[in-house]
Amino acid sequence: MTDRLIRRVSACIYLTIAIAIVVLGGRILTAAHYHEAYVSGWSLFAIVCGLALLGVRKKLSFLPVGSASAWVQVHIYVGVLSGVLYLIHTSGRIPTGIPDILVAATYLATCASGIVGLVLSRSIPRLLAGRGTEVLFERIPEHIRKLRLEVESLVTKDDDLPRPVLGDLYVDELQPYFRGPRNSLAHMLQLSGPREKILHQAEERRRFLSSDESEILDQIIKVIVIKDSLDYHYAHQGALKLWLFIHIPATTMLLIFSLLHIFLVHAFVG
Amino acid sequence: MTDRHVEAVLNYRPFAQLAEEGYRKSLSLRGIIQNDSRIVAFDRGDVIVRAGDWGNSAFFILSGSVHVEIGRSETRLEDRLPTEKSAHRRTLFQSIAQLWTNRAGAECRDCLSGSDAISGTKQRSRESRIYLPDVSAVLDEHETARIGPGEWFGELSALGRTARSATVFASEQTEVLEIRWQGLRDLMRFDTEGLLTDTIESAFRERALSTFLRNDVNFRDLSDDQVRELATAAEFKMFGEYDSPDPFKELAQAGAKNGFKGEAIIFEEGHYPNEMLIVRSGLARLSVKKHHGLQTVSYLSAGQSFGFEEIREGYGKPQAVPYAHSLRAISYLSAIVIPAPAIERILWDNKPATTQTISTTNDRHHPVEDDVLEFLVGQKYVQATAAMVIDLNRCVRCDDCVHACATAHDNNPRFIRHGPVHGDHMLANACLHCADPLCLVECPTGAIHRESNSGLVVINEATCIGCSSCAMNCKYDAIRMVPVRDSQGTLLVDETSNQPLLQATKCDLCIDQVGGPACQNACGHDALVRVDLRTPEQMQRVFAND
Repeated sequence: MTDRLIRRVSACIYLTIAIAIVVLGGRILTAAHYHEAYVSGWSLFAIVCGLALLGVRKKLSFLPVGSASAWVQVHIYVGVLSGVLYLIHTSGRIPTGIPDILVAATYLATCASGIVGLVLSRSIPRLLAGRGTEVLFERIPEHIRKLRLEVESLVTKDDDLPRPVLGDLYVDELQPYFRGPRNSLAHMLQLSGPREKILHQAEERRRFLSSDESEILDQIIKVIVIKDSLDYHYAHQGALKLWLFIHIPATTMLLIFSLLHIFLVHAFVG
Repeated sequence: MTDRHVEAVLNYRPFAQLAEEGYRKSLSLRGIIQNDSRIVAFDRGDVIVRAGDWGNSAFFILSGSVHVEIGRSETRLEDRLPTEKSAHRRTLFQSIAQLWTNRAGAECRDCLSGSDAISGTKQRSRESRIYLPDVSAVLDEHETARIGPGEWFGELSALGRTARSATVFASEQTEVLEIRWQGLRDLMRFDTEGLLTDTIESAFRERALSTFLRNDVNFRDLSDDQVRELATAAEFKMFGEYDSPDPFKELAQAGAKNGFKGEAIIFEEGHYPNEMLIVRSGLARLSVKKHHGLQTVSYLSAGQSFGFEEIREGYGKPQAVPYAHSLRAISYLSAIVIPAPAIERILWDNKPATTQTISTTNDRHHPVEDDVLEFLVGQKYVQATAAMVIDLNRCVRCDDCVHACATAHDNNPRFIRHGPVHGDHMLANACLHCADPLCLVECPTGAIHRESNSGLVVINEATCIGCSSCAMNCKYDAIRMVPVRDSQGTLLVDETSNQPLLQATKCDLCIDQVGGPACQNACGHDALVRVDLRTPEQMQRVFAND
């Protein structure tokens, strides 16, 4: 058994125990005529605040406060626990009233984006590693720009006039293709259709070319393939960054609306 | 050092024998002594160097005497000395304060001021020393040798960029000339008569070679006389491109392109074993023929040997046992070579050699996968003590590691999350803190040096003049030359050329941070590790997926 597997199994066991304690605790409180919603509500709020501390932890990597990976693991499992607490707190009902709807919506958005982020962060790295090339996300536009210049030089004769046929290929198909990152959705769905389409368009021109121009077309095709790989990286690395733009603002809004909810509950319910 | 001091030093042999005309105008003999050395006084009992510490200077005794521990007693003297404080670490508050005190401008330097450019040095706190209150008791309890005026010590570890091999303390009021290894190297380089080089090498033969040979597992149980005989028979040899004027980075890249062809072959598989080799510094590749090519099976680094098993197995037999592997120098190799007849005569004549199976390909075979080993040896990553290895199957490309590095270094990241990829692992362009860092070799000021306690390779911003020698010698692109600003954020510019002033920057393994390497701490997916790749166990653990 690897260390990671041991860690996962242990965490699942602790989580199961924690869920059991929470559920049983709720039942005991109800039986003892305590207002169980207050306990579950405050517990949920405390857990959400604890989960939000991961963002603070990420800024303190120079301090001996435990590894970020340990914090992320705790974040994931405690996040699951928060879902159980949420169900207990809401008794599984859809909230009414604007403040409650806002809290619930932001909580669900945070949860959902977190789950999506977890799935993405477990699946995308393997896809990118399997691609064989590695490129920094911020440098992709610059790499694409260089590829575009390379293709432009290939389709241009020495007198700077466009080559027949290849020049038309560039204007019709390649210029939009090399303008920037493309086909992100197709890449995310692991579809190679757009790439095959442009390669097919290029191949279609071959029968009109001389042998020298055919060699140039081979070079253009190589550049198209490289560009497709960059687009793949752009789509997937972009997704890995994008989900946080939903998860973190949702967390911030959740904290704000939770405080509002707590204020309203204590002010008007007693 | 004043002119008077320099004159006094030049009266001592071997300095008096150095021909001044052999030195360049820009690097004169007097200039080297004046700028690269100082005279230091030690009281009786002062510990001058401690075994295991990293030092950058050699010592020449002007007056008085010192004792060096030479015994092989169970308790070493350095174990009884208090541990020196490591490099200045930030306090907890200082660490947290980085969040708001880090400057927005890139590469600001407190030690540099506006128009004077790099003219000042940092204020140094008064040196503290460890001393032995009862020198007589130490002399009674530990086996030592006395070194007197006109003799050197510490020069071998300084020139060899290794840890101090013995503890040295002053046994009376002593005055020494402490010279930075760069200064000693320059003195030797232009010493046309070779007198200083001979003195240094003779000292190595006399003092260190026996210890060096005895550290080899094959010679551990020999008598002192046998070891002395071996030392007499031993020769110093260099292989590869050590003295090439080209920057090491270019040599290494050319070597990488040429593969095995670019490496100097030392011994060939199947040839008669007429010598044994022990590596002093550098790296060597062990390979065997495989069909039409060559397969790397292992590598040798400092202290490891080659050829002994074949010599031993073939002793007294009608047919010699040929070398089981080929040995090649990866870029360069410094070694001690002992002829087989000398080994046979000293070790086994008059008594038979014990019969043992020689190391076969399988015995020498490294436990790591062949292609991984080929990659690590070929790219010389096997000398990394803190390589940054990123598991691309786990890395989410979030750059939290880079952000953490920047926070720990005044908002200036010290590595790039980019580098050679093998299988599912990337070795990022972050300082490896090599076992034998070649970046130190050409530094004219000693700005890039080993921190004395940890041995980590660090750069002193106050003394870096931006010559790029270190960056040119680092084949891993781990050192970046960056334009620097003063504490106000103004770009510093050279008045003559009007070009921005540059300084070298690189990963320092967060030597001044409480929490250790921020990059590793920041990775939320266990993708990034700093690992010592010199050990097969670590290699296997890290590259297990490949």
